[in-house]
Amino acid sequence: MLGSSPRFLNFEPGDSIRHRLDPRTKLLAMFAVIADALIASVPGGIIAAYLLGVVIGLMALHLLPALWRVLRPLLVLIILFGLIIVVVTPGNAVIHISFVVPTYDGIALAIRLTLQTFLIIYTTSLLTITTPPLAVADALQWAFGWLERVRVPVRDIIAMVAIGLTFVPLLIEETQKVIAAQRARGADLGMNALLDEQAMGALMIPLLLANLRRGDELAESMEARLYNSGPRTSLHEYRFRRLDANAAAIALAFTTAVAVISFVLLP
Amino acid sequence: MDTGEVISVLGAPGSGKTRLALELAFLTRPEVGAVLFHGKNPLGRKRSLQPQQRPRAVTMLVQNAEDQLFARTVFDDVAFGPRHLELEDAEIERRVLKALSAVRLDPDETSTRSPFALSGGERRRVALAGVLAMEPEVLILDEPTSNLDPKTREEFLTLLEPLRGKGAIIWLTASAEEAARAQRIYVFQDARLAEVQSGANLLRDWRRLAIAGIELPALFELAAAIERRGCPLPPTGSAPELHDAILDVWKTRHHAG
Repeated sequence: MLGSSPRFLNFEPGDSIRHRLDPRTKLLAMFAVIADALIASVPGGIIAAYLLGVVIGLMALHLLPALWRVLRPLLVLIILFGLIIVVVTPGNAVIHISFVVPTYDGIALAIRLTLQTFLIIYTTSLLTITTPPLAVADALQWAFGWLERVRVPVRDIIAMVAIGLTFVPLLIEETQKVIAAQRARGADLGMNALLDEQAMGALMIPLLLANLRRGDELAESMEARLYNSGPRTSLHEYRFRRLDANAAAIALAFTTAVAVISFVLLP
Repeated sequence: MDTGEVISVLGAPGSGKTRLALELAFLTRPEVGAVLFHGKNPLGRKRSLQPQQRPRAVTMLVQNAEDQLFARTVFDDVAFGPRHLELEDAEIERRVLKALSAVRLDPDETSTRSPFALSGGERRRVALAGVLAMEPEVLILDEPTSNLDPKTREEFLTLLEPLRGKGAIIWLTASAEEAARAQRIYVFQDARLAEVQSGANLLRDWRRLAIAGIELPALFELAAAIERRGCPLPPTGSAPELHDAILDVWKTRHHAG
């Protein structure tokens, strides 16, 4: 309505190797890279972890523009946090600019943390770009289903997350509709609306009501179709294939390499 | 458009009416061309759209406007628009009370109630009052009777009748019956203006409207259904003629069968 609404998590349909991989493999590989990023505390480890990221990226070259669109806004945040870390970490001062004291330790820490964070965001985005949200939910259920045994309602949590994700575009559209409606009767609802209690009410209350109503209707229609009335089977059975085995092997090899570099070679 | 004129834009659901309404209300920038208000384009040439640039004299009753109520009381909700005009309190109160009576809600009874305690039809009337309290020069109505039951719909239509002649009204609708109330009718198809007609002539062309997916009065819907079943009707001008034509066809068939 007002401008183009961003597609949430920017799933890009396609037929690359990344698309054809089993969502469970992709999820596990993502965990592996996140683990890599977290344990890679030394330059060598980070370089190895980034190499894995590059390999994964090479498998999906045509997705890089879409990936960039997702990462660009986050990059600003990461750099901002990096700058904060530079000045708040104690250590040897580089220079004194009144009360702002960047330190060498701060710079080192900031570089490490930003590189790690970026790698994590990069891999998660790669997953969501090449995997439909519902397949991600299926993979999560597969990975965490065992928690049901200890009475964690994994299925419900995942259903909630999956529904939430699919409804985000609708939420954005709804927000644009409310903004247009309230502007049509005289409200500004620009940036200063954030400070104006009444303007916030004009935006949030119709939005909240619409979503509560939608939630109610959805719950009823799901129950009318026997949600929650017994074990469910899935229309799409996932099967691990040779491709998945190869991908898993690559991810495992890199993770081991990163761990060895970080813990054994350069402790 | 002239002051006091009522024009309607008639289009099937999904033909792009709402998009047009947002553009006419200066809420979205048209991709091509410009909307002029008093001979000027208030949005200017810049790409970005500043809410402050919108002429306040143009207001719109959005589709299902009752969903946009939010204030604690009906009074506050109707006063929401006028308060943004930076009017004096007495003037705001005058406008709110006048708008509430214009939509036939008793100000004494309803103005202190919560808008959420009202029925759907009453809430839409409150929404209309909120727009009227702006005392607009141009009032855009985007399917003002959508999702109302037939009785509430009739009531709502009688409220709109006295608005004629006060400011300009642009009425977007999917119903040929409602569109025929306007002085000029624009038939809108696939986001393009297909025809310009005067109100009386609109239904003469009912076959084309039926093909465009526009909701016709019951008699014309019946005629369209009869023709779809392979029984052509003679070309007719007015509703009574069509009525007779349908009866004739029915009688001939009845005797033959």
